[in-house]
Amino acid sequence: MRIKALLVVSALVLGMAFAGCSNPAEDAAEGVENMYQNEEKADDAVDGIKEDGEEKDAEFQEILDSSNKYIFEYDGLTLAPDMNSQEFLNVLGEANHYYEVKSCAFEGLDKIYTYSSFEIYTYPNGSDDLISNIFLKDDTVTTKEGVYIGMSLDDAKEKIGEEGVLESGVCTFDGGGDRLRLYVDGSNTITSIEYQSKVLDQE
Amino acid sequence: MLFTSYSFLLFLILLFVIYYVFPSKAQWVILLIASLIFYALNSPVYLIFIGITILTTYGAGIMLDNNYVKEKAYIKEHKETLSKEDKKAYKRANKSKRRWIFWGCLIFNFGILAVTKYTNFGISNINGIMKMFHSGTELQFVDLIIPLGISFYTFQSMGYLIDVSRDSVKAQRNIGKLALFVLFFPQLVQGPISRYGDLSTSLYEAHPFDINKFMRGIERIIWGFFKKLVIADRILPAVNTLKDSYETMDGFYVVLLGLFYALELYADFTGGIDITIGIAEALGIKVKENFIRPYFSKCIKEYWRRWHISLGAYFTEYLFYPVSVCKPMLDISKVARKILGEKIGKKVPVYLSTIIVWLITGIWHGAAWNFVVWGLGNCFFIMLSEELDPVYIWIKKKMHINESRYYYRAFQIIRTFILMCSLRMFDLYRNVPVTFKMLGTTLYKWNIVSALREGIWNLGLTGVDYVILIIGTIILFSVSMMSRRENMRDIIAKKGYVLRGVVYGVLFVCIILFGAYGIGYDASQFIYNQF
Amino acid sequence: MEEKETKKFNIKLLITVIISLVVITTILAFLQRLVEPKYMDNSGEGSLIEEYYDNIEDHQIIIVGDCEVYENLVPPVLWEDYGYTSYIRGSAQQLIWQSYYLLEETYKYENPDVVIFNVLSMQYNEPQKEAYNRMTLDGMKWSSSKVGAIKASMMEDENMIDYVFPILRYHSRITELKKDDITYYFNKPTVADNGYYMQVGIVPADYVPEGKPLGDYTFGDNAYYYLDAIREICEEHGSKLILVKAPSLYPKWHDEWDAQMVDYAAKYNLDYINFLEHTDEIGLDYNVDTYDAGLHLNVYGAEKLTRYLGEYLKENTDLEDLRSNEKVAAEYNQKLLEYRERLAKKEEERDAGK
Repeated sequence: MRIKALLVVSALVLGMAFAGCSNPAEDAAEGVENMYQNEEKADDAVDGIKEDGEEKDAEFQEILDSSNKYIFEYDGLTLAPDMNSQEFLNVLGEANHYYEVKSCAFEGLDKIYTYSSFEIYTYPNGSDDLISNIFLKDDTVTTKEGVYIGMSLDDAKEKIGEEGVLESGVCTFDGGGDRLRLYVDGSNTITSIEYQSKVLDQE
Repeated sequence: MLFTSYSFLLFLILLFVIYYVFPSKAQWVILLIASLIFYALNSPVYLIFIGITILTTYGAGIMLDNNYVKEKAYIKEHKETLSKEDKKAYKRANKSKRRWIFWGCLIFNFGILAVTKYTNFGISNINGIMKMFHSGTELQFVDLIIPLGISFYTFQSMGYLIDVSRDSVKAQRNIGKLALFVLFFPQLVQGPISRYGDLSTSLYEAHPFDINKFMRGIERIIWGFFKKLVIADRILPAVNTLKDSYETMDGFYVVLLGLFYALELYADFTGGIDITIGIAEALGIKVKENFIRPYFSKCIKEYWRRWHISLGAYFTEYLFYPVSVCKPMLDISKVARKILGEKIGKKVPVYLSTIIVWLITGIWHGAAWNFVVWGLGNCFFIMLSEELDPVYIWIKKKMHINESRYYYRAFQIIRTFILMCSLRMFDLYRNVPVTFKMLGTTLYKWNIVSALREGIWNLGLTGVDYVILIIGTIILFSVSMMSRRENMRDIIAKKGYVLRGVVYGVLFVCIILFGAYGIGYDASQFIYNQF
Repeated sequence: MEEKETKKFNIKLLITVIISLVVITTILAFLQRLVEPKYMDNSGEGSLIEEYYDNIEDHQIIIVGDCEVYENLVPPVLWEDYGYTSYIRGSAQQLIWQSYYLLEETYKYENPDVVIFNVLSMQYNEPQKEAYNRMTLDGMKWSSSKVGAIKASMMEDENMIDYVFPILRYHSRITELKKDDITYYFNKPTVADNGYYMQVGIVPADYVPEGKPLGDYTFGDNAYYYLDAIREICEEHGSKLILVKAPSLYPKWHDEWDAQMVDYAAKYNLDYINFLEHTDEIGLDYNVDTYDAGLHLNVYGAEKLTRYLGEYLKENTDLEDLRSNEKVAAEYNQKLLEYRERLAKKEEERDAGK
């Protein structure tokens, strides 16, 4: 009898204890929305990346878009560093050439897909391969901003709208999660164009 | 320099040697130098901030003390000639002087804390309000450095200032000694917040080498490292995974996160404090306990008397009491009694003070709304249970429940534990609506079968990790259970040297072997470093 | 709760502490051996450096470098065809300063007539990966050379103490121990033939990508510093230094890099052979002579390259053919036999599809 009573009371008390936060979850959420908006900004200031409750997917895409400032468009397909290799393989089909770079003594395989006018490098990430670099190889393709091989660096800067940092023959434009790197020769003519992920910077 | 870094261990060994090789009179100077080095190694720039706090606190302390001395001397000297009114007037004049000094120093130092820690929080709120009024302008966030341990050392030095202003301790006239009190490195980064009266004596005393005391300190340090490295840091990846990918998590995971975080936070924070107190003990210095088996508390109020004791005590002593008896509060009380009647009106100032204390406790933990809600959540439950007390008594009486029975106590402990785990979700998700939503999922959305089959294996823990954690938890729990009446170290020490050697030897080997440190584990700071 | 004992000098406690420390150290030493990687099955490259200490003798030739030497040159073949004794001190992604310190250490044991250094590692001016560092450095015996090598190789998040007490680095392996850790606890079989790590697979190099371009092709100061150090230590000990570049097709050996090595060799009157320019003379067929599509040679390609090198050494150095020296011959013929046996076994395994 006593135990039964106890169970009832436990349920009551626990119920009461949670009364403050179970029912009005939705209302409370609305009520503190303004607070939350502010908080979110504070978080942004700290982390640079925000995370929301329900629109994660859309937002993730947003993050991806915002962090990958520099993207390469080819045949209606958007290519950017850290993108899954399956995505471009599905659209572009098999590469003209494919090469696997096995690292000495360790598992893990970097892969190189060579298409007619660009080359894509990937790095392993779990069971997936993600893009580490994209190199444009000739002037039949251009960057989204209209930069191509053979163009002068000054023209390229104008198209991109930024100064970039020129060091050791490479002018780098920082795009947050990625970089656009323009290789130039002695007369400041672009000889090679690279999209580079920052993910592997530490390695 | 983290407690868990090799450089800190090297620093500690060197300090122990130097500390006991030099004459014991010089020990406090050695400690001061060591603390300065410790602080400077983290970043020399921070020294300016803490230096300013030390200087202003020192100056204000002396001025307050001098004023008291002068006042007492004057009154004593003119005992015969002074009328009661004159004496009162003289005292009042002095008091007002002291007030200026006291408040000046207090506001200045808390001002530094507020500016460094809370500017961006303020800006984000102002922007939020401006957005509400559709204002196009937005304030830019500022990039301020937050000096290491600023919350702790500001609180500790201001506690000293309050004590001096109340004339309950004499001001420290040696600036080096005061600097040591503020800078004392073991408690600088994560507390506890010591009161000057408690710490000062043993801090400045000479401590000749005593192997008994020294080894007791080392034992406590080993125990602290065991908790931190074997348990807290091992479970860390799972806690991070669970809280970061909350979208895909149902009620089962929320409960799991609550339990994991309870374990991590406890092992991390109490482990850190064990290291702090152990270091102090090995140096011959007594630092007050900061935890008394908090998870065995029977209600939230009790929990806060047993968890992070120094912070709770600080707020009670320096905030709750002064606020509840300050003049505006007394006025409010008067009005409230008039309007609401004696019974309810009497409670208004108490509740108001409680709300203020919890609001500030929340903000102290972090410059964000989730901490505010967390603080007020604690406050809400404390007041609720207080208000419902007559109801509970009635129910208990009707149901013939005997409060002293073990099952009722167990129920209380478990209930309190669950409540605290739920409140901690605000700290975990750092986002108010998400926290409410996730707490909501525990009520209806569960998929235990798939969680046990796959889910729990995707949290970054292997089977061996789970085994280590389970054994670790059993050890923690057993030690807590056995320490009810007597400190575990004392129990072991009494059993003889062989057992003592074996216990700490095994713990040490476990730390080396099972500790989550080094390459392959993320170097994780103690949770309380960030406050 | 205060201690009942108030004696400040408690001899019993002191003895307990000392005994505990001794016991703990012993246990940890045993555990350390247990958790250290054994580098047997998949990453035998990690065993190469330590195997040298079982083979210390006066070698005529010491070869230093990365995978471009330990997978491309075969000491038993140099013996079989030319009567030269040689040893390869190389390991995976061995950085130039590691090569230098290994050479410095080698000179403490012996004085080779010829030192061959593969120059691919000139491309790295700073440490690259902790795991590779460990494969080279863990195998070294303690000496000032090892300390130097560690200091030069440590990444930002590494600590010297992790090298002194490897258990601090490898303790996490306690949860992932494998059968190898028990099997090879006390003894390990040799994985290499005088430093040559055999590969028998065949994967043709039908296509090799161009490779990533570089903005600046100049080798770094640090790399040159150690190349100078290698040159100087060879001069000091009267050894002839030969710089080589193995005929690996990838990573790309840029023309700009090659030019710098040609200049360096000319400046200091050294031999520099870029084997990539002699693939026809060597007789390399990249359809059958590589096990990973052109990154490294397999044993068949390596034997061809070794013979080409032997011929070069015969023509350009005064190295003595030791095949008539009975003592040396007895030892090296045995090594040759072991090499042939290993080859037969690996081919058998390959054909069995293992």
